[in-house]
Amino acid sequence: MSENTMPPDGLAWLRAVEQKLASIESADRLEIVDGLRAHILDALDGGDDIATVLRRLGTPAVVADQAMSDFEPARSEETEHSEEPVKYLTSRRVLQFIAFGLTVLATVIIGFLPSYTAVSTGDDGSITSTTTNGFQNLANLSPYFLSGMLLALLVTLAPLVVRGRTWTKVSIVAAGVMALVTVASIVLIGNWLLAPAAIASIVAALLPERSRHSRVELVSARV
Amino acid sequence: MRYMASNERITANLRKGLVEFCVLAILNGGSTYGLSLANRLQADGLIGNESTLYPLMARLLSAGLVESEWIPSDAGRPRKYYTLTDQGREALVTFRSSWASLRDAVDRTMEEVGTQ
Repeated sequence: MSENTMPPDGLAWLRAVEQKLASIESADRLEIVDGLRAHILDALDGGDDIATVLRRLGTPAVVADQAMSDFEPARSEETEHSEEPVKYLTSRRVLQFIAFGLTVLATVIIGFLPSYTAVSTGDDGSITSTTTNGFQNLANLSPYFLSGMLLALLVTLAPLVVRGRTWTKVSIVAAGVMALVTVASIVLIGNWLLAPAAIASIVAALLPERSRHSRVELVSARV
Repeated sequence: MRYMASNERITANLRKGLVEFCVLAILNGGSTYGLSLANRLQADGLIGNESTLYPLMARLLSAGLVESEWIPSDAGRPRKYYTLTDQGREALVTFRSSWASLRDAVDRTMEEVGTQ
């Protein structure tokens, strides 16, 4: 649709409305503005002047407020009518907790265990015991190995601290990185301990999103 | 906060959720463009302000109940027409049956209370 026939006041009004609707999803925002644009042009074709048309429509702030209130209930109903309420602890998130737990466990096993005590008897019959604790074991690990474990901890932790729309993306990226770290650990140093955590992380990323009522059902559910 | 049952508030609350089905009902009679739809709804007292129609239309389009198309008009400039989809028709049928029973229930309650 060309904007050439739209008076400057109309263009400025539409831009202001569009800016104020920034928090609404792009497709919906464009549809609202497109509808308003068509409305203004039709009213102008009908002989109204732009000032009258815009006055009838209301200020951009009023129009945007009305649009937001129209969209906000839809969002809250989406939550209310969902088969599963929006909650933090979904099955995917549980798997991610398991992945993080397994990574912590692998880190503890590799870095801090085994802690052992070697007992030796000297020629004079004296008994000497030497304890190698976890911290000494950790200190002997190579920096590459440590950074691999640290990376594994971070990527399994990341999906647990992220919420909202980016969560799925973060989960997929985390699972990918976790798979790479695990493969590298196995190939380079024969460390299989990260494999269970990687599997949990990948399964969590591949699980389908929780089912939601479609907007069609929501519209019907309102009555 | 105390609930004030003003006429405006009651009407606004009742209109919410009903207007979209009125739009579907109008479109069931044939495709039409936004200004015409807005004028009709405003004349019937179903919307307060013309601009409230377009967020509603965006929701109906997004839900697949309505589709839009720019069609050349007699004025020479294309007009954006809204058309009811099959899904929209189904939603309208569902609404009609729900609305009939709801309306009857409300009427019955109001009549019973009214006689006390």
